[in-house]
Amino acid sequence: MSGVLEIDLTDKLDAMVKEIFQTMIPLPIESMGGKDGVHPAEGTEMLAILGFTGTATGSIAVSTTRECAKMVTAALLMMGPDETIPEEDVADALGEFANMVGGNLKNTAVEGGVKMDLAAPAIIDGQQIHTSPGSKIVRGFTRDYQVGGKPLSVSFSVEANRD
Amino acid sequence: MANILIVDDSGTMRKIIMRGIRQAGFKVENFVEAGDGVQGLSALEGNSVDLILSDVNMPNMNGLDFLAAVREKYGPSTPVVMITTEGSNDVVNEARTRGANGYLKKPFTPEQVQTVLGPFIG
Repeated sequence: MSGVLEIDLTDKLDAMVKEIFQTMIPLPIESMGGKDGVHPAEGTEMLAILGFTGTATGSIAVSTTRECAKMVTAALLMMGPDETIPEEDVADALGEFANMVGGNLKNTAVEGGVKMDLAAPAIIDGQQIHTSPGSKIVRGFTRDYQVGGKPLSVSFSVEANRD
Repeated sequence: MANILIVDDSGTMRKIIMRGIRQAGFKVENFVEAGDGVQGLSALEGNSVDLILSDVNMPNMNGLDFLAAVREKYGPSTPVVMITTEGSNDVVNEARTRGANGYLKKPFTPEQVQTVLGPFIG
């Protein structure tokens, strides 16, 4: 049995996301609860996926609308209202947010005796993005948020061991 | 006025770090940017810097290998502070062993930036 499966990361994930916002992204964030499985945010147009390997294999995904991703980028970069947000910064900022979530989850996992190596975030930018969880996923959960009134979700999933 | 090398594969994070340093009240003459350890070593060839800030997880050459290369080539004189989400004891201890002078965990506040970087550029 994978060690990641035995650590309850649900509440920790919620706390981490809120800490990241409180520390570096000055936008109001409201937790809208969670659910089992991997579910992108409503109207998802941007998705940042961070894979991990080690004791278990899986991924962390951040999904949101482009409008929300732009709000997060502007807040992360402390941009003024008259500044233009470069498009490349929007994808990079969402990836960096996923990276911070993943890195902090890793710290929790490592404290629980779990080895976890993170990959660089991959960004998918499109319209009406849908995800289909693979059949190998043995555990997954999603936390939903409203950021400045816009939807943002963070999902965590673990795949069955390959051996 | 300090010259600072920032090594991070995220251009956005480099911007965040630069703004964070300015927001913390430090006077910086010049920021030199690099996207990985290899670029960081190249940047050091042509620039004299007072402080190096480096991410850990990067392509081509990660931050720990970059740190070891800096110490091997330039010795202990230039302070290196690791800025990363990798805050586990193993990574922190490895960074210290390889010669890191400090550690700043993401997410960070301007106050934390001030506390960690102050001894080197304050």
